[in-house]
Parts: sequence; structure tokens; C-alpha cells
Amino acid sequence: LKASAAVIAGVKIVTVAVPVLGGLVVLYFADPSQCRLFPPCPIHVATGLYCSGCGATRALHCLLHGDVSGAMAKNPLVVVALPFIVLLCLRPSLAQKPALPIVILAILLAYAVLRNIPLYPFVLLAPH
Amino acid sequence: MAIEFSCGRCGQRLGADSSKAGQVLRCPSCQELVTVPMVSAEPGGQAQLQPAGEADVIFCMKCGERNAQNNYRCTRCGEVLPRTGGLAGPGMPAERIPNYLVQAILVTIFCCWPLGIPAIVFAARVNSRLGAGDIVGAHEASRQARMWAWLSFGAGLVILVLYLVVIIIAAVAESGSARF
Repeated sequence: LKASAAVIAGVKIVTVAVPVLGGLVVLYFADPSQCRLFPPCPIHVATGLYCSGCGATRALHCLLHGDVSGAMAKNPLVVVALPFIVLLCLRPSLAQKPALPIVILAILLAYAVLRNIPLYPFVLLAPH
Repeated sequence: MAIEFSCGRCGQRLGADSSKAGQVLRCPSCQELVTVPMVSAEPGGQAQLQPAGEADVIFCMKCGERNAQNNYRCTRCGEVLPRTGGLAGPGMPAERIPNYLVQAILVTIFCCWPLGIPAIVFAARVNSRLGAGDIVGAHEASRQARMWAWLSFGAGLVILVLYLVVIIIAAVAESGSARF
């Protein structure tokens, strides 16, 4: 049993921790809007639409360099949501609030719709 | 090998595959929750199955597996089980069933939202079922949420790897054509 738990931990390190941490290191040194190392969203390429995660990689690159306003231009929701995600990690009991997942889902879907409206305040939500 | 046992409430004879040993199933006859024993019950029914009350089981914090109260480590993943101090009772789940909400949000934003959204929906279902006191249903939703989060993460990873392969091939082809 201990061995299988260790195997699971090892698989998680290889499949999650290494890609995520490695990705963050690469993301620090490489600007996704300048280099081709980071894949564009296939849905954006196919349809031209922005989903809620579009610009998130560029926003993270800006945040890693302390550029909050640059990050806000790429994906404001990611910037605003990051403190909440950290809080959720620190206080897992918050995630058990009955309405929270549905509220988050509604925010993500509404955000995806709003940032595709090509009119003034909404264009601020799209990567620019 | 099949395990034969009988429901502790209605006495219905039941059979389950030995891979189900230790798991909690619903009696198809009376809907009572029953734990599949490790071995077949003696003919004559000495080792009749106890209804699985919520007080005498403990859930693994890591994988959600249902364990006997006196287990120290989870029978599935080996995680040390949380101590409830005997305070657990129906309607008051002492254990926290993970709904993987953080993972679901992260994969929805960064990996693949078509597969991340079901993860959030199942995270919501974990909470609503917990609220309704449906512990078994909440565990099932928890497993689904975990599965969708992994699928979304995996899809993102596959897209990244495929993309990198294409980029590298394109770069090699470019330098090759420049040479010739």
C-alpha cells in the first residue's frame, strides 16, 4: 500500500509538478506574445472567439515580472481570481460552500461571453 | 471469484465480484447501504452483513475510499485516515469529501475548458449531495470531478506536446529548406 501511494505521488510529480513548474520557469524567460513556444488556444485559432482562459498565459508572464497592468490587459479575470484561488488552496473548507462552484461556473461563462462583445467597455476584457 | 453475502436489513442474498470487497453498495432489494465483505459469508449466515451506518466508517481524505472506523491507513491508497473521535453521525459528515474545485478552475482556465466545465459541475454536485446527506453520491461526484479535472489537464498537456512537436518539425524543415 505504501508502495502504491509512492507510485501515485511519483506519477503526480512527473505529470503535474514538472510540467507546471517547468512551464512557469519557461514562462518567466519567454514572452508568449513574442515566441512560439506556447500553443495558441485551438478554439481561438478555429473560431476567433476568446474563451475565459485566453490571454491567461500572457497574463501570467506579466505577473511573473510584476507587471500587473500588463496582466490586466491580457486577462483581467486571471489577475482578480488568483488571490481567491490561493485562498481556496489555503482554506479548503471554503470550496465546500454549496453555491460556490455554480457561482464560479456562471462567472467563467459570463466572462467568456462578455469579452467577445466588440464594444467599449467589453473590449477591455479581451486580450489587447 | 465472487463474494456471496446477504443484506443485513432485508436478508436478500447478494453476490459481488471480489474486486468489490470492502466497497459500499446499495442493496438492490431494499436500497440499504451494505459493505461487501472480504470473504463470502458462511452458509447459514453467521457473518451476516451489517448495514453500513455512517458512524462506523471513515472516509479517506485523499481518495475518498470508505474504510472501517478502526483502520489506521486507507485500504486503497495508504493515506493515514482522519480521526473523527466517534463524533461522526448521520447528517453530520465528519469527513471532508474533496470536490477538486481549485483543480477544476485551474484546468478550465489554463488547459481545456470543454473538459474543465464538467469538473466544476461535478464539484457543485459534491456540495449539493453533501448538503442533502447523500454521502455515497457525494463520493461518486467527487470521483467524477477528479476524473474530468485530470482529463482536462491531460488534454492541455497533449495539445502542448503536439504543438511543440509541430513547431520543432516546422523549424527543422525551415532550416532544411534554407540549406538546399
